[in-house]
Amino acid sequence: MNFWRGIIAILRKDVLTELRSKETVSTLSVFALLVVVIFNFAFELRVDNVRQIAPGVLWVALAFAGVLAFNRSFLLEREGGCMEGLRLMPMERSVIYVGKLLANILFMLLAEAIILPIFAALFDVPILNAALWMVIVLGTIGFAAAGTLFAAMAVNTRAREVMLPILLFPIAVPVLIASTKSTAQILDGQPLFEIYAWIRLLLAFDVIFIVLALLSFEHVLEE
Amino acid sequence: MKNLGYLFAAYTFIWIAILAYVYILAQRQRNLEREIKTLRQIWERKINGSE
Amino acid sequence: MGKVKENSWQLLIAMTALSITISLYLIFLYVPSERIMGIVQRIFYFHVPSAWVGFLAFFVAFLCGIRYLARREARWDAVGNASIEIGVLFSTIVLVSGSIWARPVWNTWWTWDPRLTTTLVMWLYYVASLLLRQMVEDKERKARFSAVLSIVGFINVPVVFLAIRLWRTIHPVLFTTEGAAIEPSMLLTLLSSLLSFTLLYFCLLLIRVGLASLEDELNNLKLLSTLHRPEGVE
Repeated sequence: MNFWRGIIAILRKDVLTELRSKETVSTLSVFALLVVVIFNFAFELRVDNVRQIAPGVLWVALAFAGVLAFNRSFLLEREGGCMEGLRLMPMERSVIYVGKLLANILFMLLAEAIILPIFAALFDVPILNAALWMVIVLGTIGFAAAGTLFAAMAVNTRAREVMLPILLFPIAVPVLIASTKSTAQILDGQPLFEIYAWIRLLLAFDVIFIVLALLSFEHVLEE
Repeated sequence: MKNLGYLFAAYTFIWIAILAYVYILAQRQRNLEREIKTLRQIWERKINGSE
Repeated sequence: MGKVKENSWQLLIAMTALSITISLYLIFLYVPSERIMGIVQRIFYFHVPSAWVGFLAFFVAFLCGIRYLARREARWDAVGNASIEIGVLFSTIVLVSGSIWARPVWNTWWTWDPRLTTTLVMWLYYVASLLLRQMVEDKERKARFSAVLSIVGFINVPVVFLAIRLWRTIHPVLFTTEGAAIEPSMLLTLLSSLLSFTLLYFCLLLIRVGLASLEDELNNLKLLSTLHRPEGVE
């Protein structure tokens, strides 16, 4: 199956590049943690219970960090002149998308594994919760689905990095809302059936974004 | 007739916004037409000059 | 411009002017003031049609995006881009007029009501897409990106709205915009205004697309000049 071979090839390439430099995951983690810490300072003076703002802070930090990751995933290609090589590959463009998407998701998950324990300590919230991990994975998938698509476009503009967040954040609002809401409900100890409502919604958003991106990616990458 | 000021503000904004857009378009159109005319003139001079 | 085109253009302008006059009459001299909100409520008759035109504009851009990706004809990109600009213009009007209306009636400049919030979020998105267009040099790539952004953006409008709506129903919603059924005279005024704004949309669209053709013509002339290299042309 040429399709899967191509995806694995791209995924492998990105992972190997990352293993060599370890830049992406480390910068992601550090940046996200910085955001969390800054928010802590920003709010602690005015908010009685920092637990209340924890979900929002987490997802804002992940969103900002994610933007870094998505930018890098195409920036490195562009600077190395690899874009042409990718385009010459004898397979559908959507293969490139899926490969890049999986790589981005992987890096974000790795960073999240580092961020979560520290976040739990700073905000005094319990994180040993399978439902919470599921929400984080789903939220990451949705955010990365849109982010990978837009990064492919943003990287081709004069302003580069800056264009990605201003295009991505409005579109990612549904995923961010659903993720934050689910996280809040889980941390608050809400009944499972309520949490599942939002998780199902999050899943639906993920599917919508992935389908849209798969359909449009070839138009973004061609030349 | 309280709040008449707000009504006035809203309507004024709406029309100013639309007119501003039309004005910007008109400016660009003028500049474009001027440039096209200049280019055409240069073009004609070149063609006439080479005959 | 052919004679037929010229005539239908003048007809459009005339109809728009007439429709606007009628609407203004209805809004200011015919329709009674709303009981609770008073005279300020009349903003409604421009606020709602602006929202409608914004939605229409982004929908047209969505269609043009699809058409462009299918056919790769430059004119679909021109119409799509013009439509996005006009959509952003009217969305701005929605946001500002809504804000001015909210201040005396609800004593706040802003409410995180689902419709207003969705408009704000998508306004930001479409402005970003216009910015991106400025930053891409290649004409063909510019058109492709705009097409994808218009398609993704429009499909996302109901998704964003749904998400915000579901989010807000957990929190107490202080204001409901639609209460009782609308009175006939108000309905008439609203419909008239709706028509005026739609006609206005088409006028602006045609003007803007005409501008795009001029730009095209200029670029072609410049290209010709560089090919033949006459003296005095940069």
